[in-house]
Amino acid sequence: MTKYSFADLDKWARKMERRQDAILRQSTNDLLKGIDIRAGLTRGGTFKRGVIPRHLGALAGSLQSTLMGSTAISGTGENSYVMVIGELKGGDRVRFVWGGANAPYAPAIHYGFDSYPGTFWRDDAAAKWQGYVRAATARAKVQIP
Amino acid sequence: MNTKDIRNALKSRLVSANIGPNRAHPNVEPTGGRPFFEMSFTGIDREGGTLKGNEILSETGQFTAVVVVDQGGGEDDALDYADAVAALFPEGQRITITDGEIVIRRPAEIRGGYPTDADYRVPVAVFYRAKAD
Repeated sequence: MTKYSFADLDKWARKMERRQDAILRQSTNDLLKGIDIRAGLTRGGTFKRGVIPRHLGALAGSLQSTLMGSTAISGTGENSYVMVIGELKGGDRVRFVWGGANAPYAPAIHYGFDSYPGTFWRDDAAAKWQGYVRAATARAKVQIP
Repeated sequence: MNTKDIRNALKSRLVSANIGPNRAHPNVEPTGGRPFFEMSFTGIDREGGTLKGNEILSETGQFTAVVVVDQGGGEDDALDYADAVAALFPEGQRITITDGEIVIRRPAEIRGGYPTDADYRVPVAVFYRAKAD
């Protein structure tokens, strides 16, 4: 382990910032990547909580990723989160939204309607956030010693 | 502390409050028609940590009650019901269960409403943590 003295406090602070950024990027990437997209009921799939069901792909493709902070970026598409995470730094705010004009039925698929109980992919992913942060922190400590 | 106790405690708090609408329990068809609450559980994260490996020490999760009203009548009724549900689960509320306790982690979120075929639905998300004694 590297030992720091008061004289190189700046060096220590820079390392902590690098770790913070790495943890934030890794956790956010794991969160979005961890949301499974699988064939919906109309495509012969089975119902499963925590996933985005795919029929023609409009719902998964409606993901709008926005970075508000050190850099302003916004994009739409199934993998649009990748470019946002690439520029993400500690202190930034990000927003990931499904639905909009391309898939206005997103809330109904998420929370349910009539006899369809909803897959709750957003809430399910959010509940795993602490776990993703714990794993990313352990990894950052090894990668940025 | 088991799953049934945790979920029944949260559901019965909503049911026994008797704030108006009918209820739709998980895996049960709603009876009595709209308005009703559709209850579900999601986002469960559990921690064990005992040497035995088969004991649940804590469970963090989300209890969702979707308020279902008739479509076309505005959203005021649905929001009144949603506020009433949220008021039942204030931050810090403790609910005793067998061999444990449920604590409401933060204020309930009233999410954006959306129309379906003949319904208008407003989800209310309640965030809880159940801990074993």
